[in-house]
Amino acid sequence: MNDQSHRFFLFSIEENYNALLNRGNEARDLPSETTERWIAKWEDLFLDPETSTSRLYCIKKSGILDSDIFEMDGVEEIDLETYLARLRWEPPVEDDLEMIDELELVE
Amino acid sequence: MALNLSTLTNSATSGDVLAEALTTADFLESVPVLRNLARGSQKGGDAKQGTALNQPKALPYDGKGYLYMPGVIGNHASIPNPLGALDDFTFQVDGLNAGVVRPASTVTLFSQYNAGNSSFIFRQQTSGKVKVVLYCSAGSFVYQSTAIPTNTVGIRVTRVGTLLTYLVDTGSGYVSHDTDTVVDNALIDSTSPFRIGEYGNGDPLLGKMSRARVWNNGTASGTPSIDVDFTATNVRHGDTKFKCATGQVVTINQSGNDPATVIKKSVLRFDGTNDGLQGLFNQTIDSGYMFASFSVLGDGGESLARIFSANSTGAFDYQSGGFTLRRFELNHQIQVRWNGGSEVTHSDVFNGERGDFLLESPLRAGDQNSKINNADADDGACVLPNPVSSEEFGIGSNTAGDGNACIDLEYLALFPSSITDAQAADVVKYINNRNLVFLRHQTDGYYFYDAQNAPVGPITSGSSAWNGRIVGSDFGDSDRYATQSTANHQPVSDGFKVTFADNTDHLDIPSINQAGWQIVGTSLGTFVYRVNANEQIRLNLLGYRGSAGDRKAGDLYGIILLPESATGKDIQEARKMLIDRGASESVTGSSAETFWLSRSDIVEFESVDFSGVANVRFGWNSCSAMTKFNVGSLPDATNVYNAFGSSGLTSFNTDLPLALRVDFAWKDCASLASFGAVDIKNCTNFTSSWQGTSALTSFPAGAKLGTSASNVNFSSAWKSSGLTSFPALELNNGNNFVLAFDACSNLTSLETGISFSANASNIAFYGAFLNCTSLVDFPPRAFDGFGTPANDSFLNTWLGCSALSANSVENILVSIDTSGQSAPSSGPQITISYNVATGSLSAATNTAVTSLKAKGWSIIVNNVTL
Repeated sequence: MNDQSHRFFLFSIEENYNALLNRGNEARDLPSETTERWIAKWEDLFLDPETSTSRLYCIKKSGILDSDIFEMDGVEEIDLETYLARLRWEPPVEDDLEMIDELELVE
Repeated sequence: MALNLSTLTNSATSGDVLAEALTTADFLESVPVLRNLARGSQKGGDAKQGTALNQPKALPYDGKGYLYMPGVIGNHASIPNPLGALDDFTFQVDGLNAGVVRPASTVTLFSQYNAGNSSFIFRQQTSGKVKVVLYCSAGSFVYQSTAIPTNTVGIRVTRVGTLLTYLVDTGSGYVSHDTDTVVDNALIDSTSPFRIGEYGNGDPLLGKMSRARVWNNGTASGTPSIDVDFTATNVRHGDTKFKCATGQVVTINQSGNDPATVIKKSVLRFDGTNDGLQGLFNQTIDSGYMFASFSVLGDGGESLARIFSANSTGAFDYQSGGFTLRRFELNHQIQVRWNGGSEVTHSDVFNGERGDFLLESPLRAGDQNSKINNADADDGACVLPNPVSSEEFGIGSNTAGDGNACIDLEYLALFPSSITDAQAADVVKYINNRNLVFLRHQTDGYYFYDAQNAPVGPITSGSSAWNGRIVGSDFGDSDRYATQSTANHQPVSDGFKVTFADNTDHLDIPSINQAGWQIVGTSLGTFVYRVNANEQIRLNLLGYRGSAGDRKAGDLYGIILLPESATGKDIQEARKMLIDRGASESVTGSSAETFWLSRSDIVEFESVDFSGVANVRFGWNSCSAMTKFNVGSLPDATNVYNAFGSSGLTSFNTDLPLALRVDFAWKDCASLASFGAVDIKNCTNFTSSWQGTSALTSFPAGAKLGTSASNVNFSSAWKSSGLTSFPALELNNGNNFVLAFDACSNLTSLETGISFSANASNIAFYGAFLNCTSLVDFPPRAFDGFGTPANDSFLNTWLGCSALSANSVENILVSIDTSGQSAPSSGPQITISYNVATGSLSAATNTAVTSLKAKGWSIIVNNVTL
């Protein structure tokens, strides 16, 4: 998985993603969206841990057709480094805040 | 090789051993007599064949292994397009038999040839001359040596510039035999396959070869371009695909009933047309118990092909008094014929689906319930009545020479039917230990997703689905198709391995909720896990589903699920098989980050070599069922951040000698009750390492925590843990103990001898023992060597320690005073709560207070500033 073999995306609008999915299925003559598809259903994309609403996903370049149009609202192309960093995002540790609260109680 | 049955049965029960495939026969020798190695009074006669044409031939194991090729087109080894344009080169073949050196017709040693797209052909002629055809831009050129010695076992040809040298090995190493002046053009960069034992569609090799090599230099120096070594230990008997020493995948192409075969054990080959052996029992037998290990070749032979048969004198085996284990017509089933009755007992036998297998069958009145590979039992279905009455027997055919089976026979024995089940099990074990006929998954494995059986191309559905079925397994002999309907998620097979390209690739499998041992062979390592019975519906490269976004990319060679009863030997044999097929034995790369994150199925993680792996961040995090981690060391791991957090570990005994950070490593491991005296001496960050380990009541005195590091951070390290005591660890390199033991409500004492921060500066201890409500005994001299305090250094440090003794207060304050350190510029408070019922503050305490105040400290005890 690298920037040469894959494209990486942050999708934030479900409707626009579904349009990409459905247009791609039609272009590939896949029989039914419910049984076969070229990319995953929205719910199977990776939840962006930072926003908990947008989705992360990578697509093999070998499977992309010229007719697949990614230029639309809610589709942000990112690089591998950003993709991995966002997948591994963690909320900040809250121990310090907790400690301060405890100290304030004493003082 | 004589079979010593004395370890299996006593002399009275070893009487009817019929035969064993002999190792004393020479390569390709027709075998007229198969000696009966049985001893004792019930010994029958030898198995014989007086007609040369009908004699099976021997393919004996020579102790190293070789590729047998039958001299029939379609039987050869191949590698797809492995070479570039050769300039100087060395060709070499070893382990040849005499028939290859003086063949009946020209044979190909190896080649890269296809009409119009050829590089070379390396051949041996009937005259004994070595022939080399070179293809280059100037045309094709043919060269040949004088006849080489008849006792040649190896041939090497080198080209250096225009000098072609023929060398031979007659057993004493290579010596020059002849030379030629040749064209020095680079050979054509052919895209044809490299073929051993054939060129295009011609000159197939009849004989054997143990190794074939090509170097892209004329001195046979350095690593070859091709090194196909059939003696290599990873190459197994009967393999049809393997990875050779130079990394290419070698395919053994097979055709017909005498197929090319990798020989790693002695077999007697029956041709399925007219081969068979017959003999006399020298008595009338009415029953028996047969064991036979063999593999089915080609089309399996004739209709009703016999494996073993017996009959009354002058009658046939299918008539009254006789019996046979045979093919059912031209189907792939085994049929028992007994006293004129019959019953089909096993399927998928004569189609070669089972490879080598061990057939055992009681043969007695009312019980012919056979098993294959200690499995696939008839379960009482085969109960043909009445004893037989037989004096003659046949192997590979009946005694009339009909019903010829096409098999490689490895072993056959007939015991009295009186042997016990335990004795029969011992015989099976004996044969399997000696011949390695079958592995545990073939007995009762649940699935084996074998990459060599995966359809080539993307794994999708229908004919492009990947079946994990194990033919004959008691638990796995049903279709288990792995599929993937989303194109972007489809792993791709090349027929040898299945490649997962990214974190989207995975497979859907039929629901399984079966505990057992999962063995996973991949390019990232070969791993063994005991898994629980959680329902599973997906496979990733490393096994079942964990964190979807963290699926790994790599090559998969196979995934096996064995039953929980599998032994260590069973598991290691399965693991070894996957490694032999190309999976990495140890963990590859420098990172195992998130490899098993959130794998809720793993109960036990077996040992594997993690040398070279620096990063195991989140490696086993949230493996909520994982109670055991049986890896003795993560020897090169530097980043162990959150590696085991929220896992189900009950104990931990893995050394982490190079770890630089183990922060959050065991956080919230609520079942962690035992932590070993592990070596984590180089680590600087223990933040929250054991936080929330509520079952951890003690900590090992021998643990080395940052003892070879500096400015070590222990903030929240044991916060909210279940500690009841704490040993006299050397913690002198720690400078951050903020909230280190916060809310350890069961902690009653720290052992005398503990030493904090003697080698540190800018030290923070605020809240270190906050709300340790059971802490009574704080030892003396803990801070004697204390370095420069940070702001707020002792603020709230012992606040809420409502059980602390007055003597402990003395120990704390006297020791801080002994350190000689003045208060920090901000936050000079030393905050202590204690239990006044243990006495009032001592004179020594008051003296220390006075001294500390002189150094700028503000001492607050039970909310009163002293």
